[in-house]
Amino acid sequence: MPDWLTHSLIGWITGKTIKLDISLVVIGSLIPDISKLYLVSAWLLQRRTETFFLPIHTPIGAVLIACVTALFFQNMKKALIPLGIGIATHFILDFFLLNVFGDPLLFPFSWDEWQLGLIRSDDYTMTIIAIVAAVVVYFLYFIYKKRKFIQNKNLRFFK
Amino acid sequence: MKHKRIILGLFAIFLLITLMLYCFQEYDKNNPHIKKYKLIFENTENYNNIEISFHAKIITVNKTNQTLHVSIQEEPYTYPIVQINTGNLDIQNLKKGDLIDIIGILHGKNQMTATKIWLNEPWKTDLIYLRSLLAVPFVLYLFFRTWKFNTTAWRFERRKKDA
Repeated sequence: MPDWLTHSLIGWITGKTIKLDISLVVIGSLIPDISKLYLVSAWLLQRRTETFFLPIHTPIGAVLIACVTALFFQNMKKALIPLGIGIATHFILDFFLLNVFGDPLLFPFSWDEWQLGLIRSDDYTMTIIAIVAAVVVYFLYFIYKKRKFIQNKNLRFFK
Repeated sequence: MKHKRIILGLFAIFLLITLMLYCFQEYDKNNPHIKKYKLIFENTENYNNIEISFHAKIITVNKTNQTLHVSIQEEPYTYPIVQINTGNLDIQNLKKGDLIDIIGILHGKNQMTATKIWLNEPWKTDLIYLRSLLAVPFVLYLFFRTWKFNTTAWRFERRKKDA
């Protein structure tokens, strides 16, 4: 996995760019990594539980968690869309990784695992790229908002 | 409406737990990599010149002969010890007990030639967790800046300034 910082920053950039609820896109981008609970359970139970939590790190499992999360919002459908987009960003990022095993993206219909094998999960290059991209998007958005504000001010003046 | 939500939630949780139990029970039998490794290491003579990759722990390092003896750290942890010819790869920084990822060509009985070796340095793994911890306050701030939890309705509601 890339770290949560990378996932959340890419989620933030996606939410900002497509103008959806940023906070929900970011939450969605971290949902598949709830499977990391296996670290806690393995420590508590002193046995391997990775395979029990693995379905959470599959598109179907993550969407099921997103459905449960969306039930806690007034408009379920409106909450589910950004959560789903966040989940998609997570799997797209993980697809670039180089692990011995990949991700079983079609589980439970297929056990096959896929990945592009470009970046190792402990490589922090991806984090640096995500931070730089987030800063660039933040400033571009800031300039865009400022320009829009000046345009509106000028329009009001001429009216 | 409230009952509909509860039923939907319980159904989703039931489905998820079913998937988790199914995976827990069937993973070793169905995982393509585990199936492949089992087949290869039980009949090594039939699998010459096949590319494999795995996570391993170094048992011995022979820097003069450029060879390693490793135990494969993949489920079900019953694979034989493999001797690896590292050829021209740099193994000067490898030592007994190191965890490595290997891609190579298997030939002969439990012998392979490595084409790529990555050392899993513990500090790099720790750094992943450290970077992940940094994300927690960022995500909590983003979320609770927009939403607040209504404890009577058991629902997240938009904060007024965003409404």
